[in-house]
Amino acid sequence: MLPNAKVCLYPRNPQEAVRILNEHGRQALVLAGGTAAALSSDPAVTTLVDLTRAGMDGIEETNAEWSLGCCLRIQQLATHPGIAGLFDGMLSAAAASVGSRPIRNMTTLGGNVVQVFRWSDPPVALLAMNAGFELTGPEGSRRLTADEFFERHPRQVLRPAEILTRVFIRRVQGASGGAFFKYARTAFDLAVVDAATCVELDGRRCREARVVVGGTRTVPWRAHEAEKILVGSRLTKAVMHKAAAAARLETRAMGGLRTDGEYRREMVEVIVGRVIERAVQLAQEKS
Amino acid sequence: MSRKRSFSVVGRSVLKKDGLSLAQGAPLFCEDLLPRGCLYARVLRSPHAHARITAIDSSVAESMEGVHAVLHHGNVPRVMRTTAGQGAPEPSPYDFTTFDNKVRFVGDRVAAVAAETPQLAAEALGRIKVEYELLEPVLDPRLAMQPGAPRIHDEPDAKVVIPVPYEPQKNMAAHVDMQIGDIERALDDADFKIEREYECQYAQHTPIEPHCALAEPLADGRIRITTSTQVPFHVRRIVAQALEVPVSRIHVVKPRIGGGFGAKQEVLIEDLSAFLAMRSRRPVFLRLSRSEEFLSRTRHSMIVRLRTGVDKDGSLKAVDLDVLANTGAYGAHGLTVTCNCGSKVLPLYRWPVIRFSADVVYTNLPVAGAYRGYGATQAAFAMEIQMDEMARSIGMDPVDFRLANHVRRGETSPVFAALGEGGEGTPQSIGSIGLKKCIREGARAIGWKRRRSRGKGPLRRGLGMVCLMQGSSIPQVDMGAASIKMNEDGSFNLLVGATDIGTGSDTVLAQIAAEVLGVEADKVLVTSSDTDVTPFDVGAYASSTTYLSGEAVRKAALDVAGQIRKVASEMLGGAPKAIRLENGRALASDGKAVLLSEVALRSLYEIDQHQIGAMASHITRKSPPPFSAHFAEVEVDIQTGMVKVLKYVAAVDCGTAINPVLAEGQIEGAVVNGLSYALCEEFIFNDKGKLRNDSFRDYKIFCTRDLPQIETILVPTYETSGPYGAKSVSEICINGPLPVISNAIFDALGVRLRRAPYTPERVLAAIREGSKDLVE
Amino acid sequence: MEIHVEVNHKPLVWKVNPGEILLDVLRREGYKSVKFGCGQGDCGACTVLIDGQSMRSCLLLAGQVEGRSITTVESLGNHDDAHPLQSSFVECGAVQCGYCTPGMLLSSKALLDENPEPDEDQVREALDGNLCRCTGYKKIIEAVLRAAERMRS
Repeated sequence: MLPNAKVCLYPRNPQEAVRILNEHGRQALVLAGGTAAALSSDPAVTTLVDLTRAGMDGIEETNAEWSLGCCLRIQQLATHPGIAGLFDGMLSAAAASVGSRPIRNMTTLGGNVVQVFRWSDPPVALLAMNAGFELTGPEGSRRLTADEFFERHPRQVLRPAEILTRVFIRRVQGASGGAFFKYARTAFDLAVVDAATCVELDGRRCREARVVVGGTRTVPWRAHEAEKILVGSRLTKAVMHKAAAAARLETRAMGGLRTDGEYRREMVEVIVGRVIERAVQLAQEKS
Repeated sequence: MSRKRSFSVVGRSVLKKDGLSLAQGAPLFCEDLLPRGCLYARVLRSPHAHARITAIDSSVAESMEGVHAVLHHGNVPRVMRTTAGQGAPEPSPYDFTTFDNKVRFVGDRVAAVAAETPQLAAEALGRIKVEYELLEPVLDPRLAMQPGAPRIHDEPDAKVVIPVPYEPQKNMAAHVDMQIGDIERALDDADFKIEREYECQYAQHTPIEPHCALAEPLADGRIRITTSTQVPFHVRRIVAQALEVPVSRIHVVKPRIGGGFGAKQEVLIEDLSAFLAMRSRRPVFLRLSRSEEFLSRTRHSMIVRLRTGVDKDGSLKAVDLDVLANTGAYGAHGLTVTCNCGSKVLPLYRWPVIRFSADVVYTNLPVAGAYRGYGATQAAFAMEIQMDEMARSIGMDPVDFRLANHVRRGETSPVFAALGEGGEGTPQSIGSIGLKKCIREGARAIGWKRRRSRGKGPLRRGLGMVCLMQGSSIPQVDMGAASIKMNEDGSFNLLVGATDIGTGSDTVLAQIAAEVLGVEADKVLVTSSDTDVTPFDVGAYASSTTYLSGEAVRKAALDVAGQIRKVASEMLGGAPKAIRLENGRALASDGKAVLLSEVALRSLYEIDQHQIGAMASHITRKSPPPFSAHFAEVEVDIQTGMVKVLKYVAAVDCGTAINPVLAEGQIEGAVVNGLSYALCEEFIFNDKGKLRNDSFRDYKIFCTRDLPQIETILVPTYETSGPYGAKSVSEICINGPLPVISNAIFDALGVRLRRAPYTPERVLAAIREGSKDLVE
Repeated sequence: MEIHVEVNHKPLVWKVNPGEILLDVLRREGYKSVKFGCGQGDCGACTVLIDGQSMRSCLLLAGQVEGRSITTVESLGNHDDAHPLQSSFVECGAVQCGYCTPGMLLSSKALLDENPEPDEDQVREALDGNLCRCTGYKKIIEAVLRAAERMRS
């Protein structure tokens, strides 16, 4: 609980939200799902800012891309039929693997992506999908690529009084495939390893590949060495295994309560291998 | 003893009496019953695994506005006792007092506070100044008894109150030893001798309701304690002991409780609530947080060395079971759990030569205590894996191997006489056993004979099986009593000390009474577990409620039935013996009948008025084992090491299942608990003995999506010494998963896991190492 | 501050600190069916429905429920008029100690409100945030499927 919170404000649009945050600085705490806030007992917080009434929970489509509001609940991402059609449903799969049903009902896309802790599987998929991130602050809106957004912990990317307002998923044509997998010890658990891959084929060769690993560092990261092996190659089983092995070598894995670093690194190779194979298979089916 | 085998109420899945109230969220649990003006208690706990408290200053905390009492070793009497909820004199060492000047594990009690709000209580804890002299801890049970190991219980007043081995100077909390025949000779003579070591881990019961207790000082100077407990009468006695007041000053009530599983077979917090209530003169509520709950009580982790000898024709020759049990910082239940390793596992098979020895050691780690299975779990783990290995070493099907060697009806085992709960046992022969049928039906249900399917890609499938036994009550030691009185509408009040911890025992006991009295179960109104009102019962443990308390209920009901017949015969004519009680009526042999309500009205108001009622007690003479056969199909991913259970079959002989749906509930709950113990539950300590995964986030138990297909098969037999043929069912099935999963993994991969839990890392490591079975 | 909520179809005004935990507020206001199991959002004993969705009241701050509807199991039925979920739970043996039961019932209700014909996997998914240590879940899943059948006919 937040013992000194005196008031909760309900901004009706993003600009109002930003204005309030700018005014109150460290005394304000953003609430989307609120799950992280509830476990905090920060005595400095006097003002709660509930973002869920500010119209930021919509899904819009244009020709080029889908735009997802930051206050969309993770459960909505897991079940929305349109999102299931994007990148072979990899974002839906990532959302469906978060926590348990009540957690998915409560947590939001924005909270999940900005906090990148605990239930944080969608960021892995979003980085692989090369999603775009719109941040809105007192100076207006700016748009970052996924690489920019996850370059360091998103909390450090956000400027003071800035909030994540929208996430953009581009449409891809042609022979592309995406896959996500979360490896955890039980059905309702933090990941030992998350992996996600998007590939685009040009005939038999791989034109583009994004291979992302989660669960091993505080933010998801791209396995560039693995990607280099895939891009430009004919995607045989041997090439895919080589890429997975490269991902393992790039892994600086933390041990933890769930497993030790060595096992986690081994699992990077296994799980990355599986998502690469799956993404490639799906891409080949479309070509 | 009735020879009737078809019953009216017994054997039916009567609805659980409190089911609908619980489904409506009625305020029936301890925390729902807090009175106005209640204070909240919090406990200060040691950050060190082993230390002396050299100074403690609570003056600042005491002076805080809204803080009403602060306790620590300086202001609370030193009364050595055990926390174990067992009959007096307890077989557990008296190595514990309310607050000691020494702490023995990370989480041990240091002080307690009662304040107006939980937040204030927490703040007050922070103002208590404690100075510690750090001592070297013992964190490895293998090192605990080595010469030179730090002594955990060096207090001069630690003792045992019955003559059992106890050597705290060697960190030995208990020792057990028995031998029948010449073990070395028999092992050497056997065609195959197998010697293996097994290790199973700490676990916590994780009842969804943590321990909690409300203590209220009453106007007459007594203290009423409402507590989430399995053992209300032991709570009364032990709290009185701690407070140094007569038992009559304490009143204990058990409301609905949110699970126990053995964690609440202790007096863990009631003494604190009571002291705080006494000192503050206000009601005090103490509830453990979830992280404190993980440190409350645990399962004994054990290292089991098992040597067995078998001949090529499949006959068992000798068994040497050697156990090192880690009881943690205090010795509650240490001796009795470890005795059960022998007494609830060895009699299952016909071993001509037997040796069983065990050391129970202290360590500076969280305290182990009673946990469903109670030693049988840890020993069956080793035994049933080794049975599987023996079968395969002689080329025999594991099913046939069990069928050839299990104990038969009418047979006995010398273990029954040799091993009781802390002392000599009770000889008994097997009166009822449906194990053969359990094995056959279970094998059929899992498809034991079918070709093992390989599974796709990196997946491998395998089948495993195990056999199990447990007990029903502790003979000669435990007692349960019941009283019944009749009401004017033909209903009855049944008062039992027996403790319904969610198991549905209130309902089962009502069914037994109803069967005798010829009424529906809803005509028997149950009041249980109130030490002022209900007769004595040891409480819910040792799988005793149906078999022991149930028989007390049956005896009381028979007495009441006799009194009803007497009045009815006055109304109907003829001899009381000729009157039958059926469908709420008393029937004479000529067909004339009166309603039970008419009998009651007459006896209460009209003629020769008296209260029709009776009280009866029971102690058991034997502990007839339930038996079970479990079968499991697993699928292992050989690249990740992940084990998934696809199907689980539990076939159980519990005699007569008084209430089949409730019996199945016990089976299924125990199986799923055992499954997550086998696959993912474990305590992870840092190198200073602190528990790192003290939350549900990091200590995983199964959720709905982890569940395999589970099939439950009840195989009825008739145990003539039990009420309507019943034996117990509540513990036995938790013993299956640990060994059966290991056996199934062996079937799938050819590697044996002997260290639990079977985490993916361990499975992968085992696959890599290959199987190194040494068979002489 | 004052917040306006609807609890079990009843509009209410509560005086709360917005940073208080909803579980504590609900119990203080008399809804004792909402239980404390862990206080950390892991066990589901504190489950309530917020605008029909199952959520953890121990992870919600009071300020967040302004203008929302809250459902606790007290609204589901009573002894004379039990909800089919409640009677199915009792008949199937899905209630043992009963501590997880209110949370299980609410998660089940949310499921059946959104999907009156779930299959077993969908029931498991809807209840995956409610831990139970007594039943092994099997009879709970059966009870939900039976209730769904009853409610459809």
